[in-house]
Formats: sequence, structure tokens, C-alpha cells
Amino acid sequence: MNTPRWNIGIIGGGPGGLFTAHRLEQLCSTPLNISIFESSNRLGGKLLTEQFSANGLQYEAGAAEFYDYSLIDEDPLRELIEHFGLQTQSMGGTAVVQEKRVLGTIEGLHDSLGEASLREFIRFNDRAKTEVSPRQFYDSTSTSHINAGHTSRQEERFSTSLHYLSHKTKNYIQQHIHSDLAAEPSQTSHRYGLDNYLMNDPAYMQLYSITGGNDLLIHALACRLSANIRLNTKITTVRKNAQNTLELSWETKNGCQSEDFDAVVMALPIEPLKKIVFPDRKLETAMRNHIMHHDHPADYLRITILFEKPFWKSWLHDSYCMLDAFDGCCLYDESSRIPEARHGVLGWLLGGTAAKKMAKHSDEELTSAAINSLPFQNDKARKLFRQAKIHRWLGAVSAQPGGFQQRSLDTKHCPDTDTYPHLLVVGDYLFDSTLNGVLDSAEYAAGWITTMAADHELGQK
Amino acid sequence: MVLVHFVENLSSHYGQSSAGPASREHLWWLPVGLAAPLFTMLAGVSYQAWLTVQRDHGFDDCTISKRTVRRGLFLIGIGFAFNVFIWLPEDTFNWDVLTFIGSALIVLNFIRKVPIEALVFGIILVVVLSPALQGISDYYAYWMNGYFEYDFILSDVVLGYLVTGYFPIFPWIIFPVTGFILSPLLFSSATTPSHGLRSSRMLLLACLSMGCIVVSLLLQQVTFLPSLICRRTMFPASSSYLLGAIGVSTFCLFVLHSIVDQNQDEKNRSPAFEIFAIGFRVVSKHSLSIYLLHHVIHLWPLWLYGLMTAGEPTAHWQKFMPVIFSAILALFFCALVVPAFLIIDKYRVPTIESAMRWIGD
Amino acid sequence: MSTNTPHGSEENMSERDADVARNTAHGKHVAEVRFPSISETQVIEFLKISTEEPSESYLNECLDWIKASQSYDRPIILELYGTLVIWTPTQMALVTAPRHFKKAEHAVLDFTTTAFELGAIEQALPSAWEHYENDIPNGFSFYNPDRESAAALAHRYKQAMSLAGRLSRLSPHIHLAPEHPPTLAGQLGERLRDRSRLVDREEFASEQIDTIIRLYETAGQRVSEHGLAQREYVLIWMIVFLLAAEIILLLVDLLSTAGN
Repeated sequence: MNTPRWNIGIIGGGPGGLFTAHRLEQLCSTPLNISIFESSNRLGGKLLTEQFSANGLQYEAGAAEFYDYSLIDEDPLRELIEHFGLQTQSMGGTAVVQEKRVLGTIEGLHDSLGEASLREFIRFNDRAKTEVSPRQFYDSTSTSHINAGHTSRQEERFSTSLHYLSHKTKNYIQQHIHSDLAAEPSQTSHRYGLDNYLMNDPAYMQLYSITGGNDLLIHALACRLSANIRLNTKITTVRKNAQNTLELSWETKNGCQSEDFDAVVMALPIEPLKKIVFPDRKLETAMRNHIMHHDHPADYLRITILFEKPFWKSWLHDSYCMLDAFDGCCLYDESSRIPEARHGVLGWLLGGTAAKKMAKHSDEELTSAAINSLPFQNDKARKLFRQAKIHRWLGAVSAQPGGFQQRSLDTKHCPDTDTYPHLLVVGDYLFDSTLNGVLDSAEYAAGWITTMAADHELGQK
Repeated sequence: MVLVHFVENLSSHYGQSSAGPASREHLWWLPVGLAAPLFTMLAGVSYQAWLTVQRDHGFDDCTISKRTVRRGLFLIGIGFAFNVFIWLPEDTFNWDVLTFIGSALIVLNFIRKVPIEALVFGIILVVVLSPALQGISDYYAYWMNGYFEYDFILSDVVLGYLVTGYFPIFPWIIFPVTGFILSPLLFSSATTPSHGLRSSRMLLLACLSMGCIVVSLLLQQVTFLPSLICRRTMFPASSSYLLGAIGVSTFCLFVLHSIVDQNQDEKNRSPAFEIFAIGFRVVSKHSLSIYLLHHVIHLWPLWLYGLMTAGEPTAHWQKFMPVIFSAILALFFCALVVPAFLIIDKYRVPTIESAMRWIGD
Repeated sequence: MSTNTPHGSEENMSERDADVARNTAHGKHVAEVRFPSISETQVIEFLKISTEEPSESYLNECLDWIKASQSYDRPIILELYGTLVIWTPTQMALVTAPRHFKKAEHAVLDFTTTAFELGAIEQALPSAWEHYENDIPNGFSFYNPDRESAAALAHRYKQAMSLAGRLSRLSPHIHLAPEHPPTLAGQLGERLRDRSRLVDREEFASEQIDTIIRLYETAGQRVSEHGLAQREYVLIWMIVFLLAAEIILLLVDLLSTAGN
């Protein structure tokens, strides 16, 4: 007897959608027909590796690094990357540039901030590490322990935690983590703020990128999927059918088209999720509730500039450093990923309010502002300038992933478990706004669907 | 050996005297009585050395075994022929030293890969068991007249081979096996530089030989033990004799090896030493031929004279001349044999050894 | 704070003031540092310049000093947060502010000790490999049943294990966890280790030693098995001789009875 195939529809061709499809194909013993709907003309979402037209030199336009938790425990994302045979290279950066001074060590901090501020900072550092151990840091990013009963109250804001610090120390810490946070301290929780501070400690987490471009992960996933990938297909409506299946609709040149699916996964950030119409009232209520709980948008702005040569090596020794410009931004030496490159590429990652504000400016204005923000050798930068690229990622991540009140995993992934158990949501905003988080989310959703499919198959038999 | 045989066969009962130098109880038999143990021990030593050469030349085990067995059988054959043609036909199965050495070669071939510890255990076992075997087989019944006499029946022949003959397997096998074990301590492989005896090995040999001599002497004092154990007799080879013979033979081997063999390459040697060394070399090389020749030289004339004068070949056996004359004859033979064999070597005259090599290899 | 402490090495600092008169106000001199725990001949010249002036201004002077001895083609040059380190296996130079000097010096010396110890292990490796090919058959079966062979194999095993022990004692100093917040000493040590590829070299050495140890461990097992087999063999022969003795006794008894 032929087992009927299960139709799975995945909305979103970013890492969430692709991870979900990949895990479904691995886990599910029931035959599947997977369709991935992507509104743009490319897969990858926030993973985007671009090239300068001037010389073909690559740079990361989206997520610039991956987070490595393997020191503490399993790191499924790292294992997946290694499983695909992709080479990785470590990244790191200890320096913070304040008032044209490069502070890379606590000795430098002492010289710059003074004894009292240094002691404050050390105390803050020690308290952060006492409050969150590496294991706790790791667990806050995994799916295992979170359930609604544990978090009965809202967490206090991170700004409250910094309130007692002196201006100098607070400034330093904020600049240190601003680009990671992509939000102001008042917009995020105390724990999330601490996590973003602690991620700079190699004992908690290390950074790496994929040699040859981070989007090689997307290519590796896509070429292994037997799913039907439909680019330039924007899903407009999701509704339930009489047959208890879910109908997805999209607009084409020939009019509206739709298709039925046994299960649907919406692997989209919050902003595009808001644009989908749910005609069913119950579903619409559930989705509105879900969106409201997780709607804490954070903004990123990337300015990447190609120079004739890397003139910054005397003061920027590592993969990146933190600048005090733009309320604290991360300055990447993109050309450090390609040691043999003759040219130099610098990338500015602005976050939070500064990103939102600066995004309104033109590309030329942004380029000029970026060059002016360099602590040294601005004239040289202007002289050696070749080309610039701007990428605006407004609302692309969550300032408070999981919301201020953590929900259970089931509730996070299935807005209405009673009526729509086969409509699932996947996203980094459910966990920690990282690719590791989105993989965990995809894993959970794939497991859910696999169980459903197995139950259905058993029921049929 | 030459001295022993000349004196014993020509003079031991001259003047009806069983005492004096011709007597086996006389003290001078002590050193001369070492000839047989030393000879049989050397058989084991030279077999081990021969094995080393064979292996160094790349011959496989099967070839080595075949050659050994052929040589052993050749010696047994020569032994029988010796008994028949040089002695008397009725002495065919008296199991003299040649048949013993031939048998020993064959035995050595079979045990050459047995671990040394097991061989030492075997030697001890033979020393311990031999008095019992001699007792069970009623050894003295075959030696009523001071020499081996047997009935030509299977049991007597086999018993003679195993226990009661002149040089039976039990216990004489311990001598070639001891020599076989000691050989690696004396010599090194042809592939490595010869370092001679190292001090540790010298010490080991000295302890071994002294230990055996001491035990032998102690056994001789313990007179309440059976005579097969405590009395120093060659026929039968008692336990104390065996141990003493092993000890003294080992010591002689060690001393002669140190004095003669180790000085082969020395440039500053006296002419006297050269002559000495040449003598030893010739005798060593032609020991089998010398053994047969000296018997022919002193026995065949004796048999012929006895046949001519008394109608009986053994008429004058052991009573032909005084000891001093037979001893002088023996020494004369020893003096002539070296130049004689030097000439034989020069003109490549075939010898028994070359015949053995021709048949065996 | 700094975890880069010199690890168990006795450094006899014999001072040789090469240029004391030249810059006495800021403290500049050359010292000779020895590492007797590694080797009697292991010595490195150490140019120390303690100054508030920018370290870049001393770069050429330090490079000239190193080039003058013609000791090494490609020194490691590290300019980091106002500190300059130039390192070769025979000479090194450190330029930094007086308030940071002691910690920086500590870090550089610690790195040098680690690098030299690793270098000593790497130099010992060829002798460990010397007999490897010839000993491979002994990993399968002990072909040379004599005491000298067994003793030689045991000696080589001990040699390899000794190297493994030295390397594993050195490993924590090579794989020092990065500090946070970073300190000057920590950063200097980390970057010097990075630039001299200590981690990779340690991994290569470890793999080689593991390969060698695997062979000699196996060979040791074969030797041990051979020894056991030998003892069994001896016992078996003893039993055979005892049985043969019994048979001979019976045979002789039978023959003598038959004769009678």
C-alpha cells in the first residue's frame, strides 16, 4: 500500500525555512513533499555575502559571524557546518576605541578611564560572570529548560542594571555591546544585556565565520534539499480548509494561486509575518497575540567600504573592534577574512537607534559619516576610497527575543495548538536572535511535524 | 684419547696387574678420562657453531635438518663399520662413541629449537634418572669382565643403546646437549663482530663449572647413597662422575678457548704458541680421522699378531707391552699425526670428514 | 590577573649591559636569558627598553639590533597597544611603558620558555622516528626474540612516552584560555603563540608522538605475549621431557624384563 506523502509548506527561504526543511528531510520517515516559498529572488535571509563590483572582493552584508558554543556543550550549528565540509576561521576582537584611543587591555582602560572607573568595570564584569555561568549562558540559548511556569514576572530592563555605574563606565560598557544588542539598554532585558556583554568572553562563546563566505551555508543547505523552492513567491494568505488542511495563497501575474498543505511552517521575521492575512478569526487572534508578544524590533545598518589597501593594520589588529562613533558600533576588518587580498575592506555595523536614524540618510552621506568616524587616518581613508555598499536591516532582529515573558516552547512555535496544531512558527526572535537560535527553533518545529506525520501514518494503518 | 686407548688396549693387563697406571682407579685416569666427555661435549659445541654458519649462509631449516640427519647417520654407519672392521664383529652393537655422537647429532637436530631452560631441565632430569635406569636395567650384569658384553637379542641391543652400552644415550646425551647450550656463550654470530667472552659470561661459565665440580665432590663424600650416584665411575657413568666431568670439561673448554681460539688474530705470538695453535687446529679439524686412524694403527697390528701367534686376534689384547711403551707409542703417534695431516691438507687427500661433508651436505 | 607565569623553568638572568650609557633615563639594556631546564646551550639575548615614548619610534633600532647578529631572517614583530615585541629564537626585544614593563616581560619570557620547550620536543622527534620503519614488523609479531631487541624496543617506548609527557605538560601553556577582560600580558602571550603557530606545531608533534607510541605500545604487547608464549613453550617442553622420561623408564623396565 503506498503511503501518501505529506505536503509541507514553508514560508520563508531564510535560514529558518531552510533549516526546517533540512531537518524534516532527515527526521521524517513519512514521505514528504516540501515547498519553500520565498518572496525575494534569493535564499538566505539575513545570511548574505556580497561582492564589490570593482574587484569582486567579498564581504558579509548580513550576519558577519557565527557563535561557537562548542566549548561548553553541543553546538548543532557548528556540527552542521562541519558536516557540510565547510572550512571555518576564528574571529576575535578585544579593542574598544574611545576618544581616538585604542583600549585593548585593562591596562589601557586604566590609563583611559582611571582607577575608580576601572574598578567599577571589573566589579560589573565579576558580577555578570557570577550571575551567569558559561553553562547558564549556554542554556539560555537552548530549548531544553524554558517553560512558562519559571518566568512569572517580567524581567527588569538592562538600563536599570547600568544605572548605578558612573558615566564613564556605563559609556564604555554600552559602546562595547551596542552593536551586539542592536537596541538601547532600556529596550532590552537585564539578562539579555548581560548575555550580550558576556559573549565577548571567550570562556562563554567564540566567534567564527565560514571561509569563502557565510552564505556558503545556504548554498550547502539548498543543494541538499529535495524541496520545491519557489522564489519570488510572496504568500499573502493562510487559512484552514474543510479538509483540515492549510491553504496558502499567493499572487501571480495570472492572478491568485493557492495550494493545500498538511502542515505549514512560517519561518519569517516579525515584520513580514505581520503582512500575512489570516482570514480565520481564531487564527488571526492567535497570530496577533504571537506577534504582539514578540514584536520588539531592533535595527541594523551595515556600511561596507572598499579601499585601495588596508591602511588600518597599525591600530586594528583583529577581525573587528568597537568604535565609540554612532553610540557604539562594530568596525569589521572584512579583508582579514581573505588574507591574500591586496585591497582593504572595512565594515561598520550600526545598531539600535543610531541605525534607525542613520538609515534615513543617503548612501553617500552614510559613507562620508563612516569615514569620518575612523579614529585615525581619515584623510588617508578618503584618498584610498574605492567603493561603498549600504545594507539596511531595519526590524530584522528582535531586541528582546522570546519576549519579556518567556513562553513554553509549544506556545512559542504553535500560536494555536488546539485548532491549528499544524501551523508552526520558526524564528531567531523566539530564542536569542542568532542563527543558533533559529536552528534550535527549526529543530523543534521539524520534530513536531515529524511526530504529527508519524501519528497520522499510524492512524491510517 | 690416544693415550687412553693405546695404554688400555696394549697394556692395561700387562703383567696381570690391575693396579698402577693402567688401572682405571689410578689418579692419572682422572685427566685422561676427560677425553670422552670433552669429545662429546665438543660435538655439541661444534654443532651449534655449524648451525650458526648454516643460518648465516641462508640455508633453511629443512636443509639444515637433512644435512644433520645425514651426518648423524653417516657417523652411526662409520661407528658400526668401526666396530666390525677395527674391533670385532661381535662388538657391532657395543654402542661406542661414534654411534653415540651420530645419535647425538640426530637428537640435537630435534631439540635445537627447544628453549634453553627446557634443555637444562632435561639435562637435570637425565642426571637424576640415569642411576634409576642403570639400576632397572641391571647395568653391572653387562659389565662382568670390565667391558661391555651383551647377548645378540633385541632387548640387550636396545638396552645397550639406551643405558648399558659403552656410551649409551642415557646419560651421555647430557654432554653434547651441554656443549650445544654453552656454545653461544663462547662464540658470537658470524654477522656480528667477535667480542669473545664477556665478563658476565665468563663468570657464568666459571660458576657453572665450579658448581658442578663441588657437587660432584660432595656426592662422593655421601657414601650412604647408592654407588650409581656417589661413586666416581665412568662405566657406568655415575651422577658424581657426570657432574664432575661436566664441570671440568666446561672449565677446560673455557680455558682452551680463551688461550687458543681467542688468540687466533693476535699478531705478536711466539713461535712456540704458533706450533701449539697449529697442532690444535689440525687435531680439531681431523679429530674423526685421527680417532679412526689411531685405532687402526694400534689395533690391527695387535689383531694380526694375535692371529699369527696364537690363532686368536685378541690373544695379546691389553697385555702386549708395558704401560711406558704404550704411552711412548701414543705420544709418538700424536707427534706424527700433526705433520701427517698437514701434508694431507696440502695435497687435499680425502678424509673421513670430507666424506662426511660430501654425503651429508 | 595574568596567568602567563613562567612555568617551572629556572632562568638564570646574567646581565650584560650592552648599552647602558646610551639611554639611562628610560632604562635600556641587553640581558642574556638562559633556560637550563631545556638545554645548557639554550640562551637568548633580550633587549629591554622601558620608555614612555611611542614604541614605534624604537622599531628600526630594535630591528637593526637583531639584523646585526644575522641570527634570523623573519622575526615576529608585534606592535600592540603601545607595546613593541620583536622575537627570534636567539634574540628578542621589548619596548613598553615602565608601568607595564614587568608584566609584558613576564609574558614574553613565558612565551619564550614555551616555544623553546616545544622546539626541544620537535628536535627530539627525528631520533624517535629513526627506528620506526624497522620496528613496524614488531608491532605485528615479535620477530627478533632476543633480550637486546626487547630492551631496545622498551627504550624507544620510554623515549616516546617521555616526549608525550613533556608535550602534555606543555599543552596547558600553549592552549591558555584567552583572558577576559584582556590584559596586556595575556594579549601579548596569545598573539605571540598565534604568530609562532604553537598550537599547530603542538598538534603536529602530538600526532607524531601518538603514532610512534602506538607502534611501541603494540610492540610491547607483542614482546610481552612473546615472553608469555616462551614461558608456556618452556613448560610444554618440560612436560614433554617428563613424559619422555616416563616412557623411557617403562621401556627400560620392559626391555630388562624381556631380557630376563
